[in-house]
Amino acid sequence: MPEQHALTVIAEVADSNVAPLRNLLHAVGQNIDADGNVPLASVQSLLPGGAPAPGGPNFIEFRKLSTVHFLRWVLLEPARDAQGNRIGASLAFSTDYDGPLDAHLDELLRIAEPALQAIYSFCDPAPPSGQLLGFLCSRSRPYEAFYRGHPGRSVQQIWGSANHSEDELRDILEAEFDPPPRPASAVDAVARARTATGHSGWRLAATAGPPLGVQWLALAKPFAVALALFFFLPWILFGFWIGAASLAAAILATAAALGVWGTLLNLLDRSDGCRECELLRQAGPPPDPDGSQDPYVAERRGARLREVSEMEDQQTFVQNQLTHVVNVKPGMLRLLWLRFVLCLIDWLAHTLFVKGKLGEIPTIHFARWVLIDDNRRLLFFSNYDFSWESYLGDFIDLASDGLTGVWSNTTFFPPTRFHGWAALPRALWLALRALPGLGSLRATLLFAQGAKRESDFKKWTRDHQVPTQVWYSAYPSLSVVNVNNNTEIATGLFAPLTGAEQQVWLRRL
Amino acid sequence: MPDSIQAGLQLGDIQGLVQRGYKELPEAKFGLFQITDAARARAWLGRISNEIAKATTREEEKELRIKRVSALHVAFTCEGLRALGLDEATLNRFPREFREGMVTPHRQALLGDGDPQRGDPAQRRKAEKDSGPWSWRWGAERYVEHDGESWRSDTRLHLLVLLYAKVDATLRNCPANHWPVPGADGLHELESLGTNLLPGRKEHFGFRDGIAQPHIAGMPPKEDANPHPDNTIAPGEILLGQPNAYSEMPEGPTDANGQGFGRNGTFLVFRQLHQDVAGFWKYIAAQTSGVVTAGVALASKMVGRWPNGEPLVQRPTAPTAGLEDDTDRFLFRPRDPHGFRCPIGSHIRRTNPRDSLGDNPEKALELANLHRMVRRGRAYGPPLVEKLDPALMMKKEDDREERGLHFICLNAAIDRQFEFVQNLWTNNPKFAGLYDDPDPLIGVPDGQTGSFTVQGDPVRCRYSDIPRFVQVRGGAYFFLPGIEAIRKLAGAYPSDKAKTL
Repeated sequence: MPEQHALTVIAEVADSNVAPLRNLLHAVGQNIDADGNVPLASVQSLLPGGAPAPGGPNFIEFRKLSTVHFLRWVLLEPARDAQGNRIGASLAFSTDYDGPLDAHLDELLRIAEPALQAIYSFCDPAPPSGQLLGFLCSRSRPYEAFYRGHPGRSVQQIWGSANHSEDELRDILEAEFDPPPRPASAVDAVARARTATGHSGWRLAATAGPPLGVQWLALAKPFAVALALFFFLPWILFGFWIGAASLAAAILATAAALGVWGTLLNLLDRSDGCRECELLRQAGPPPDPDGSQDPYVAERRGARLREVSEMEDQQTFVQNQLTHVVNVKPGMLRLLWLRFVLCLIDWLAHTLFVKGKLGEIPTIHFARWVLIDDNRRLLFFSNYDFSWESYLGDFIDLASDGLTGVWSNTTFFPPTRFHGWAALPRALWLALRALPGLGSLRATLLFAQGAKRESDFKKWTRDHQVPTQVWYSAYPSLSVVNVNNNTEIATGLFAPLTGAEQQVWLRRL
Repeated sequence: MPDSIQAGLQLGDIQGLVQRGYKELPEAKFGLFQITDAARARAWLGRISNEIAKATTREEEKELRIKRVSALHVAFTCEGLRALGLDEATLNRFPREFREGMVTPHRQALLGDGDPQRGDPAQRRKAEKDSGPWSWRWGAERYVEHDGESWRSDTRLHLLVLLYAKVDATLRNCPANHWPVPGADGLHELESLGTNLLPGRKEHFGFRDGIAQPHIAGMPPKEDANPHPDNTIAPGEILLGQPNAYSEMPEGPTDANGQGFGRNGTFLVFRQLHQDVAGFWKYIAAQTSGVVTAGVALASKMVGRWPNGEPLVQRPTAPTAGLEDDTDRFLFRPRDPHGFRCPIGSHIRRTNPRDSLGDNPEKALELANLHRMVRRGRAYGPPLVEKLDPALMMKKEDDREERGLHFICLNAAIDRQFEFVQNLWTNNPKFAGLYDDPDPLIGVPDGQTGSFTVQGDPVRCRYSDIPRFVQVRGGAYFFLPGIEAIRKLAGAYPSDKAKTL
């Protein structure tokens, strides 16, 4: 089964190169045609002198990248961290790709080396020609958490007309049932579907493996380890009651530790608000080659907002993208907590949330959190379905606890509210009840509110959103639900189905 | 519930349109005005501020409903408020959607108003009318930017006057206090939009309209209404200065206690929607070989209700002769989880999905209710055939008459309510796991076609190549202020008293 991975490359850009690089990326992003090609003519004038021109009529041909689900380039402009220190400009590149990494990078260079060379020649230092691979590898950053909406599905399986993709299979099935007569029974219908798609190519597609199921073993592992360490080990050494007492003590200690930690963070929160504003005031606007103002200052909000929002919600696209960069609040405590929460999310994303929903949200293709600039900033990339408004609504209505857990550790997040020590017993009860679902992080957070403040949270998100200059999707007309439904159709077609299962399968058409 | 709900709403400060649609006043006209002389316009506003119909208690309404011969309401665009002298600080506290108006490239894409990304502007204007602002009768204006032409909300459109009346004569010979006098009141009439109440409270396609309405908590319900908790929304979902579904104050010029210019106001979304009635029934007839019962059945599947308004969920095979009162008290999940009765992609299942989205019906209902609106639309133009008989409409050729719906809805958060429903539920071909099914009545994009899936046992039936049946002819976002705010607009601005708001 193909594994989907995340590649993130962050390369520094000299201040003087920010504007020309932005122009080039903007031109690339705006000129991706329906076939995934960027005509050379549309970017020619913006290419740096001396860079080798790509042979052929196109600057880059995205559709030829058979391992890439989504790809983006984002220019992160110069900024200041939470302490007021300067952060230089950098270029962030990301792909959601089918592994292994070597094959992905090979393909990337084989198909797009001249384009990459041109783009990265704006970086500081620029990669010497022929050493792009090493350049990219040395600047790749690991993610803290990575979510996949349709794990185990390669680009080739999902989309395409010449490769027996699941989408093509569905098209043929749909066409089969469009003209009358309608089949009299489910048995007839399934038989007709199987005849229509009986040749060996489709059988191959269908046997490419079932959709990924919940990884119960991996999910249970931490609990098993904890149980072994705090219960079985003391039981064997000192007897049952000592074991039981030890387990109870461990649970209480964990809860108490989380409680203390939560209180500390909450106390910090109250002072943070003032300190952030003070620091920002002292530091003044960050250096910007365009001479524009600090991105968080109100005057620039309008213009930035328009820039960001006009790249979204394109009529021809079902999908959308979001790039979000925000300062991590200073202090080891914060960083540790942030990493803990993200680690928890990553673990759940790889074990429990593998059926097309992150928590309850059914519209995310891929999402990743990456700590950049020596852990001073948190970068969030998301490829999602439908409008920004609906995505943020889902966040607030369905996942506010998780969000608050992550982003309450970043600056200017809407204030969190501490439920007080009285909440401890309830939190414990929730934690116990939530096992093994663990759908809600509220139990362990003890404090939650930030992301429930609807308008504040939406404003905060907009304030820290960054325009995504180049964004490519391999299958722009499919939603997450579509992809997963196609998989179920393909795998069900040649699987033995009972009568009831046949009815369920037919409803997928 | 927050205290302010228990304390009740300030009915005397709320324009009555929020509470009722004036069934008893069948005539109506809507005037679009430009303010040419702010002082005179303010004087006019001051005069009519006492005439504006207010929300009422149930007892008052019993009496008023019989006596009422007319009702007057006014609403303003952002430019209109500016023209009347409302200060920039207050204006800036209005949400972005209202300040920018209905016409921006981004909003065109969201709402499906033409395709701003494609085509040469000159050709676009020459081409057959579509829903883009270049084809609008009102509400949009062209302007030239450094990199070419663009469209924006008409900066001359300032004021909307809504006048409802019992008899047509009232509209034609308006009492002087009700309709701005040309010249004298500092208001220039840009458009006057008439309405036409169709038999059986139907819209032009022949279906009863305006049935599903949310009940606003704390608002006295109509005499015959019996609000249900499933259908009740927080007052701040409609009114500014009241707590919304998140127990927050809606975005707008009010403070944390709900005081300020925005108090008891709401946003009024107005869209003039042209309906291609002959085209709709022609498509239906072609799909059903002209068989009337089959045609009515397919059209009803698209709507989700029978022509008389009965929901398919309750009456899957045929409508009853008499109309039940209870046409809106139903959920989708218990009787129709898979759309076998009311298709997943039908109009009413998308515009108010009730309990049908997601895994958990209770949560689904709660979330669906975050996107409700109060609808106050009225039909305009002559019906294609008298009595809107489907059998006749299926055979009738297009008469090129201008007819359709003046769609009007009220909401406190345009982005989370009107725009969300239009973008995510009606225009979205991927709604609820579908593939290529926009709303068959109103969601198909300009110049494209959609399909419509009727779920069934053992397998679905799919209708393809559905063209666009509804086109936008004009539109704007207005603010329908509270009475007190209108008085302040009329007199206090731009004096010092403004600062005490």
